Amino acid sequence: MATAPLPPPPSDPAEAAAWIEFYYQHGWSDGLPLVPPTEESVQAMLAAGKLTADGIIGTIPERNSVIPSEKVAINAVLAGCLPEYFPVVLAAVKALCQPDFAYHNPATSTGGSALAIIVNGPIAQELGINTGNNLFGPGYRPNATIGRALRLVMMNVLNTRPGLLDRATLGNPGKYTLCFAEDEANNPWQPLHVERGFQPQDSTITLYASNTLMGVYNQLANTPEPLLREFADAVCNLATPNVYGFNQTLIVLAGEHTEVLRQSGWSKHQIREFLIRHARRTVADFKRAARLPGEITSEDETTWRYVLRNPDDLLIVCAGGQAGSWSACLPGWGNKWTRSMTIPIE
Amino acid sequence: MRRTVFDPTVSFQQMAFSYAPRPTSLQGLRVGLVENTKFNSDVILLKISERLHDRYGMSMVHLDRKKSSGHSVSDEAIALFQDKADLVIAGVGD
Repeated sequence: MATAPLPPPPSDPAEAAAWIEFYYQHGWSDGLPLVPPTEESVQAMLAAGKLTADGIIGTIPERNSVIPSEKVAINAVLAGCLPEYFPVVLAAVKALCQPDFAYHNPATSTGGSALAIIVNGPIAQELGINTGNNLFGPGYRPNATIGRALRLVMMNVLNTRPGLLDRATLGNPGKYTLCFAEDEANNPWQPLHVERGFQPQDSTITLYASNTLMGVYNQLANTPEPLLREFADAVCNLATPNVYGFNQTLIVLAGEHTEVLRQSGWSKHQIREFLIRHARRTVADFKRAARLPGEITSEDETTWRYVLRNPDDLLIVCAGGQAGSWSACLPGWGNKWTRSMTIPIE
Repeated sequence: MRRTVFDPTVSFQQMAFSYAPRPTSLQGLRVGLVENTKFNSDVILLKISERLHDRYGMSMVHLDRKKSSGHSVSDEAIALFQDKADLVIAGVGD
């Protein structure tokens, strides 16, 4: 609930509605109403990013595309961002441009991945980015608008539009927005950005191409092994595209599951080792589901394929509500060359 | 209040380019292949190259495996094709 007095409503709501409709008519929306920009709001966004209108944020060589700073600012306004959110948006756009992110892959594929923005560091609390209950749900302006701004940049600046350079078969609700912060206060381990070489006081985003989001439910496990076996099962689900051992997977541990692991004293290293060891299926399993070609041989029944090979390919973050027996597994988009990127927020 | 329209899109720059001269005959040409890492793309490209060899005596000089389907062909591979190949076949598929 706001404690400061609210500003008066606009004197002419019809004019505001007409502007919203105007932007719809140009095809610049993701389907939801846009916030009509003004000179002041675009300039405020640029100022928050310490940018001028003629700057370039980055390039996508595979698309022969450049990303001008003014266009990012306009899209951030359209998305409903406050100026103080803009450095987070900028970091996410810079992450898109990293060669190892290989933008064209997750942006265009039929797989239709959502690009998750994971925020770490003090800025998460400063901006009020939700890290708790209803983590992936509605109700928080920075979560809703930062992720939306990134998608609008993809659509409007990089032409990643449905039916054009976005060829998703089904898409993903997370393509409207998928932004959250790690709950560092309730994290028994190092937060993601520190694991990746940053200082705790640094603020970063990690951009991760997520194919889908699976809830992981377990109310009975009170030791790590049964709980993590369930995560392993989610990681090596035959329906995911990344079952050949060449991808990254994001695990989001919410409060109760984190507490089970905290009380056991397990390190993140132990968790990763356990999951890598148990996230496996036999070649026969893959063949039965036609995820591998060929006849099933007796040898296939005892030949294992591991979904994850490198401990660094398992991103583990703590976030979500403290109550409830839920966590989440977000398998990666499915290409070994699209790597998650951690970028400082400047 | 007067408001400016803020176009959030970027106009694509038209780039001038020209095609390499087309061969008048396939007989005896050197062919390069660009494999995009999609499942079976190498299989089909190699089969095409085999048939081109059988029908036209063409030789396969290099099969380049891209970093991923979303990456561009590397500068090194382009230089090699320019030097060694008369034509290049690239394909995308699932």
